Amino acid sequence: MPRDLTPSTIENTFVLKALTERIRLDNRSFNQLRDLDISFSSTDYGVVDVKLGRTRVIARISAEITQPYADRPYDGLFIISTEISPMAAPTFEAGRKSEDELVISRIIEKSIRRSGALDTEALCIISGEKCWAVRADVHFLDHDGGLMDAACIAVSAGLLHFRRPDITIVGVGSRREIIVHPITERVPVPLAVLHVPICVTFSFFDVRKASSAIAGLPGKDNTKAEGDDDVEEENDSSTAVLVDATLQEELLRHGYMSVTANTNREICQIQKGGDVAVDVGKLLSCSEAAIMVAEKVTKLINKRLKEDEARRNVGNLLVEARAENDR
Amino acid sequence: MSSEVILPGDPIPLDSLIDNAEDSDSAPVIQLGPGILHIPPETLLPVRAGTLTNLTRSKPQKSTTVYVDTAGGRYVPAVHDTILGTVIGRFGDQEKSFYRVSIPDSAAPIGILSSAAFANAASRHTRPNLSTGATVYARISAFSLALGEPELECFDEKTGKEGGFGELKGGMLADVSTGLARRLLAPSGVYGGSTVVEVLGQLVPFEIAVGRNGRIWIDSESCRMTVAIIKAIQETEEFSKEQMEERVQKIIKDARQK
Amino acid sequence: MEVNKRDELPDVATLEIVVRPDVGVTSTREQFLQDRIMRVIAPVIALELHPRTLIQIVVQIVQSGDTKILNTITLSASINATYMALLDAGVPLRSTVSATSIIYYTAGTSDSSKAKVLIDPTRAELEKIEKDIVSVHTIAYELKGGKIERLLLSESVGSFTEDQVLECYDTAANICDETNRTMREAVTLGVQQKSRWREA
Repeated sequence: MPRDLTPSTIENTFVLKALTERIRLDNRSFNQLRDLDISFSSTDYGVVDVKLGRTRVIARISAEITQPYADRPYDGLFIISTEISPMAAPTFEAGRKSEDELVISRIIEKSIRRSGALDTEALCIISGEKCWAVRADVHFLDHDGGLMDAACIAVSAGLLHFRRPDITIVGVGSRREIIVHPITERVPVPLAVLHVPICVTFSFFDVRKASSAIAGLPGKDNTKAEGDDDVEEENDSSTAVLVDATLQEELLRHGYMSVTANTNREICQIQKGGDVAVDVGKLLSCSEAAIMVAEKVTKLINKRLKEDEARRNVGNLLVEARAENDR
Repeated sequence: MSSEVILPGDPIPLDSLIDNAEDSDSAPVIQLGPGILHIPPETLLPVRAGTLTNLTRSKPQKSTTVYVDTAGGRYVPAVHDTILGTVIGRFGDQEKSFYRVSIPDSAAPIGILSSAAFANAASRHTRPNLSTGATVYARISAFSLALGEPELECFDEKTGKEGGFGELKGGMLADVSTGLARRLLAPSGVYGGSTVVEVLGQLVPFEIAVGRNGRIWIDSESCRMTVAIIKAIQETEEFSKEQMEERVQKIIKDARQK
Repeated sequence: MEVNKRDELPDVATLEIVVRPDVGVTSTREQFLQDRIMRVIAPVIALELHPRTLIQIVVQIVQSGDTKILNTITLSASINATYMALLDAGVPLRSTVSATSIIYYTAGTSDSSKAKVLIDPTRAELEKIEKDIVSVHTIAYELKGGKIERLLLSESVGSFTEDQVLECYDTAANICDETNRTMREAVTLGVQQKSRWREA
């Protein structure tokens, strides 16, 4: 099996050296997202295709009726499946979870499910007996860094786009029956999405490592002072912070931090990895940046949703058929 | 040169490819290039999709090479190809040691480079010492898919001198398609007119090494310029010549202004 | 095409096909698809040209065109997609392949010999006639130089007569021929795009 792609020394040195000159290989500025494209399936609800540069993720939302968990009779089920196949990159093996994959699924789980983006109580049909199980399948088609950011956008947009069939409960007591109306018969119902979490990953590069690598001085970075004497320097120039790293940048970075935020200026989760210290100032500036990105991305999702609705809504049939209209 | 698009299994119109108007007394010699499989006795089967191309040569004997030209696809190592690889390990003892070299995106992803396969490597003391992560520009000296890893060497076949092979220092690596790599390596004029490298060369001084495995190495005066050169090469792959010249000039100009 | 762990074969390439469902986890349905794709694709790849290598094909179903009980559309589409992917990757192939789905359904009559035919239907079309389906046929042909060479797959489910199957083969041959032409056009277009640099 293919081993992990190990970047060569040349790439390592060059990327770091370029960063000290504030250059990224694709000429982006440090806090610039790659080109983002979101498109919805023309036939099905809840199928989203997200392209972030060369990274491509498709999320598919589906729903079926099941029994709720015994200890949570009022809650519906929400499952996110993020299995990475070798489709994304040959380094991912089919049927085996890599460490990266684990991190990615955890972050998405935390960002969307645990942040309460989907109101699971609204999925309840008959308490303790029947509820909707909403399932998000995330397919990673191409990997050029930022898998979790793209996946998060895809799932969020998918939840907003998805419509479940309308249902009616007839009968009383134990004779209750649920009638599921096919989407061709009744206007389907959107999910109760409470907020739209958007995940932004920041990659940290310790530029001091770069200068020592360029000068060929070994080991200075190991003694990287944790003391307070050069905190100020740490703030300014010793760490380069990149938004939306490419695969190459991801492989070479010294640390990362994923921040999930929404347009209500709420931080849903923060996850940090690697061996770069992040101080309060950086934490705040990253959070602020994440919120800005979230606003931008949410705007795009809403724009695309409107376009999609306009396309579906030929002859204004959907609006007329809505239940809240006057009869 | 013909430019007929061919799919696997299509019949090869040999008659139209071979120019046998003159000296028809001797049987035409046909050489089969990549993408064409010979099934004895006389079936020729294209196994790739691409342009059916023929090159006629008169020296040393009159022969026609027929092959299917493709722009992309996976790299399959072949003897005499130059590649750019990364050292990922070392094995053997002091007297006789070998480097394991990764050849990214290749059908045979690991090559073996003997530490004696360098110019001036007769003595143990003059052999280079490569560390893991080092990038080498090497040539495949022996390879067969059935027999194992490609064998690499880092000296010029004809002169035994270094000839640009060996470890590369500084600069930057980038990925291109296998088709573009082949094009960049082709002698000037084979593909008609100036290539990206020639256009770039008139604008800015830089060094380039091209590996047939779809990797290139670039070094120039500054980081910014190197990034620009890589961009110019990658972006203009599918451009027509005029478009390419225009774009390259713009990219380099922009890089200078910053 | 990466080297394999320990199931490498000394004289031919190992072929691995992974089919991933659009919803949920891999089940017998995907296993079935894997098996059928393998049967169609394996004889077409010149495996002996790549000994000791692994040719790994991942088929990710993005949106299934089938209703819940069928998988014919998914199968024929997967075969066509797999073939095009192999072509693009430059894997040595002996010939071209295309596949199609043919569905017989009763249009109100109970006489199965008067069944109507639907070729490569969309899901909306399928849903309309789902209850009336009599038999489903997935057929893949090998083509050489644009001519039908041999039948690679004939997967039929339901009740049908011999005549119907033979009729299917004929219809499928025409469709595959057409699909093949479309593929050829796509490849030609791709090649032209990629050789634009040749133009002066």
